[in-house]
Amino acid sequence: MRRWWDELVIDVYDRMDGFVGTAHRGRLDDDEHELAVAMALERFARKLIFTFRGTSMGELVNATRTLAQRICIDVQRMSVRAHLYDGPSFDAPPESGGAWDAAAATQRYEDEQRGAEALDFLRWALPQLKAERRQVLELTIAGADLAEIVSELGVSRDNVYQRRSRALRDLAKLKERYDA
Amino acid sequence: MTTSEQLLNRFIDEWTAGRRPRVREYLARLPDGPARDELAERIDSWLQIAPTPAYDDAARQAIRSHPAVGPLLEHGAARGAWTTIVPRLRRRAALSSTDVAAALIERLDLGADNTPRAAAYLDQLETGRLDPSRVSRRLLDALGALLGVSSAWLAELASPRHPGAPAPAALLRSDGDAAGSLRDDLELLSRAALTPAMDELDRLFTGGRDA
Repeated sequence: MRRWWDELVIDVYDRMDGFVGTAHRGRLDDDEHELAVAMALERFARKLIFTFRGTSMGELVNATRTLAQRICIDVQRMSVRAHLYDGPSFDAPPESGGAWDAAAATQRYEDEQRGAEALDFLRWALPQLKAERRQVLELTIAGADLAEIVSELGVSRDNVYQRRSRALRDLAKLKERYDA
Repeated sequence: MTTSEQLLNRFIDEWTAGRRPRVREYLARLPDGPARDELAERIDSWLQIAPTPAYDDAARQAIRSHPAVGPLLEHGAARGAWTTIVPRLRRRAALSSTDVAAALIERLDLGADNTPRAAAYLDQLETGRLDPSRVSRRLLDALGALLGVSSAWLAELASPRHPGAPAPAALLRSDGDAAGSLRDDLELLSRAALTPAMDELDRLFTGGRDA
């Protein structure tokens, strides 16, 4: 069990760091970013992993992403308060009721984590991509490196890059339709 | 091919190879605006479907030793979470330990001469030398208000992780040394019996949630 947990944490860390990064897009400074990642990982370990009702890694990744986005919003709000607020005072809080509310945040992501199922989405979405884009994406997801994809498909590196970028762009559009 | 597309593909290549690309560094290569947003969205799409990279031993060790990860791997330990997050919250609020101590003392009406002791307690909590599960609810309320987080969140940080997880709990039981644990508990009780009575500040930091 410990080994399983260790592997899961190692797997989740870079993804969580990435989801936090894509959520704030450079609008948090390094210290705020690290705080958001630490808070999100802590929340993952204390709540999400116990309340998660999904059955696949894809669902867990989706829930992780939602969690990272919510924590980022909380840290951004904290930062706004810190910047607006000149010095601490217990008698004059910067924003009534504005403190980060763990219970509310938990409920928010729990409500959302039951949503999209990543694997179902991929099964639905991949056949809708152009064959040349789908091939590159499928190979990438399967763990093939650039040289292997180039060799497998007999196309140039730039071509692989172009197809992969467009496949991900198409996938994002399909996700919007899927979630609607 | 656009710069955004090139960066996206380099990111994917590095991820797949287990070289642990940092999203922040990639996004920072583009100015804040539509191009960066587009890259963030594409990387986000990738991260949702990306396989776990085949990390080598060095990469795995680097992840394990990250300050935010290490505490999660210390099974049953609560101190790590406090030591990782609370100092960051304090820095976020632009406060030193002494600032926090002085504000707490004022808030809790304990007398300014207690500030150095309060600062020492706070330092012990932040460095993992004091068990945060013994901190009183009153102190958590005051500290939460000062740091801009709810006291419920601080209480959660201060409590042992995995409190009710059935399978890990069973594993911990099987891993534990019952006799050693009992001996430690008895020593703790013996020391407590010989310790002078606590004052109000001691109770706030070490007297338990209801102190």
